[in-house]
Amino acid sequence: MQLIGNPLKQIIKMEKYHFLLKPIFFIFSLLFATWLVVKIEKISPSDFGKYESYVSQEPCKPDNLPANKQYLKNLCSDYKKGIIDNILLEQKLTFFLDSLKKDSKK
Amino acid sequence: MLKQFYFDKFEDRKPYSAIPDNKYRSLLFQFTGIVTIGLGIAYLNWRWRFSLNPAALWFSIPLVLAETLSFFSTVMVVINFWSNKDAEKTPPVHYLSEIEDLQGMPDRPIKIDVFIASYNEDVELVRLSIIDAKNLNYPFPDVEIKIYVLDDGRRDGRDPAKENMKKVAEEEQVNYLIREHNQGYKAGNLKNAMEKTNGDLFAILDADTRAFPDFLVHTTGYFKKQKVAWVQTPQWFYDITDAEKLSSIINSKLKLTNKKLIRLSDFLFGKIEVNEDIFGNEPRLFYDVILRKRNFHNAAFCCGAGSIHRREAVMSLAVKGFVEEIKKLEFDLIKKKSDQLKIHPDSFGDLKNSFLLHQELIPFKFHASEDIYTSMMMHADKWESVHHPDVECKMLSTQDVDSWIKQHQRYAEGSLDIAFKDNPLFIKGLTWRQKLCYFNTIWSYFAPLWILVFLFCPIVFFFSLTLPVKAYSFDFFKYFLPFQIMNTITITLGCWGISTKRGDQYYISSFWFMLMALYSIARGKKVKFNVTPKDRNFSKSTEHILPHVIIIGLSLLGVAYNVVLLMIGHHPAASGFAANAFWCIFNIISLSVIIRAAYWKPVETNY
Repeated sequence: MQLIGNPLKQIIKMEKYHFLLKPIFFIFSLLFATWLVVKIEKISPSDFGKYESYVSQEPCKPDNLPANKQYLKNLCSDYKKGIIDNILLEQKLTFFLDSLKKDSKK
Repeated sequence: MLKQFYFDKFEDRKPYSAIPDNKYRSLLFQFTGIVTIGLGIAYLNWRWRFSLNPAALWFSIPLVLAETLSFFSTVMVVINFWSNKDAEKTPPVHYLSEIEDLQGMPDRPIKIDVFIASYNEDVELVRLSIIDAKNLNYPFPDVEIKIYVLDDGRRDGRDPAKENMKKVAEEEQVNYLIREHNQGYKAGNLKNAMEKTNGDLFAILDADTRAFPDFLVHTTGYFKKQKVAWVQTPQWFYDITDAEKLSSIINSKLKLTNKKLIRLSDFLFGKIEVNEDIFGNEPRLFYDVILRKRNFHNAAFCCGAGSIHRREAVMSLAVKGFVEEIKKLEFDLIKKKSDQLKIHPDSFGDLKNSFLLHQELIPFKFHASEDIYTSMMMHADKWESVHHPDVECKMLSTQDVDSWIKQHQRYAEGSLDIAFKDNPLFIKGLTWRQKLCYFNTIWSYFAPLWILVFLFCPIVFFFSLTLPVKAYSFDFFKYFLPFQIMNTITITLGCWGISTKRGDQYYISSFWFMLMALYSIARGKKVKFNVTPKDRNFSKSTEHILPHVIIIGLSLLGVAYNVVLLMIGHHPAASGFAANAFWCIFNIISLSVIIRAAYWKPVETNY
């Protein structure tokens, strides 16, 4: 109780925790920077989806169902991870479905 | 009348108290440490496998490689900081039988020597250390404590141009030892002293090390454990620069004389304090955290000044080194050179005797980093070390950038030299934990390699407008943020109670000097033992900061260029600019500290 009435003692007690200022400031800066970057990214997407994915492979023949299933899984996973965007996803799906159609006609 | 020094006004400063141990904090640290390592692995896995920008691998790969190398440091820090295990404090030693197995020999009170090593320091500064050493307390009057000044500067009056150290030693009635060469630097100086003295324990103090009265009372008790070879106490720098009011600096730089302007400046900036420990000399993080936590691994190494040693341990290592050297010489002679030299087998005995006569006992390794090198070898020889947590002596810190660089480059070159010549990972006898701790020390000197990448990344982005990652997507932050936040929490817990602000800034801003040290060792340059100056030298400080100025300049130029692109609507990656601008601010804050230090002068001398 005595401490509450003595500002000097309060300051001395608080000084013990000055070392926390830097990490707290750093964490808040990180959070703020992240929020800002994500906000800007929504307004003006940068190179998002411009590049080919390393992990997605080209579709296989229609009779190779497990491989095709894996290809679709990879596409979904890439999309979820943000490696490809919805435009590229649509392009790849269209290409995949077209190639399936062509192969089945043959 | 004692000579006046700049540090006289700091005489009344009191040292810090060691941070009390807390097992719950240790447990929490271990938990967050493991989580950090897990998150780091997940982040780097994602970075290597999914985030590389295929259109700019030249940029992506160096960055992710730098992040990976930096992550190794984090892992080693977690191992180093794993737990705190202070050695049990015991009363001081009285009889030799308390610290040694006498095997039937008669017992006697122990003998303690106090060595004050000096080379070219002001003799009046050394006098202060002698006076404090003479005031050392010990509860047993029959214990013999002898003080020796080990003068490696041959200042015995033969050269009138030099100060007379011998005279000061005589005036203070302490012993004075000298040698005619400087072979082995400080290690050679100590070797010379050990040959001429006979204390069972000996304390090492530098010319500026002022022992507190209870230094011996608090440290000799550890030697009751017969495997303890040395006890290191924290080196406390009592002359670290105080915080200065920003208004005082502005007033003095602008040479303000107008009272109204001064009052305005005081009103606006009087509450802001800057330049506290401007040279980043506060060693508490090192002694109270890094070295102290190595007690747990029995890997706390000796740092020279402020340590006390068991003669038997140091000499046993010297004898082993002596025998190994003789064996090596003999082997070389027999296996390699006998044919060429056509030596008769009977004369081998004579040659061996000649080796024995010429080979010297070397207690401390002749090396620029003799402390850490000898410690490593002692640990490998199964001796134990103690890091005593409380401050028992005070010392002077470097007071200008030139001296700071000289001192830290010597540490870096010495440690790197050990890495290349006698890597702790391959030394027999060290436990894996000791190997990791020693390797951690050496690894930290490789940091400029990845710091350089971190410093240049924003600049490369600003001018190439190329991202080092595929995109600043949610996925990036999903991996990056938890790792970074948890890492910060872990380090804060590990260093609880100690501000890491200045240390972090100097870790980054020393990149250039450390890089030069690395380059010099990689070229095979011999490491020199530079004695750290104990006075202030403000004259040449600015020549070392050019790389820092260039990086800050390029960063600011890059920001300006990108702002222009944003304003005219031609910036292809606005989010990338935001991310890199934040990064850049942290880089500039870190680098600017050494520039401020280079131009720093105490405010009162400016008026």
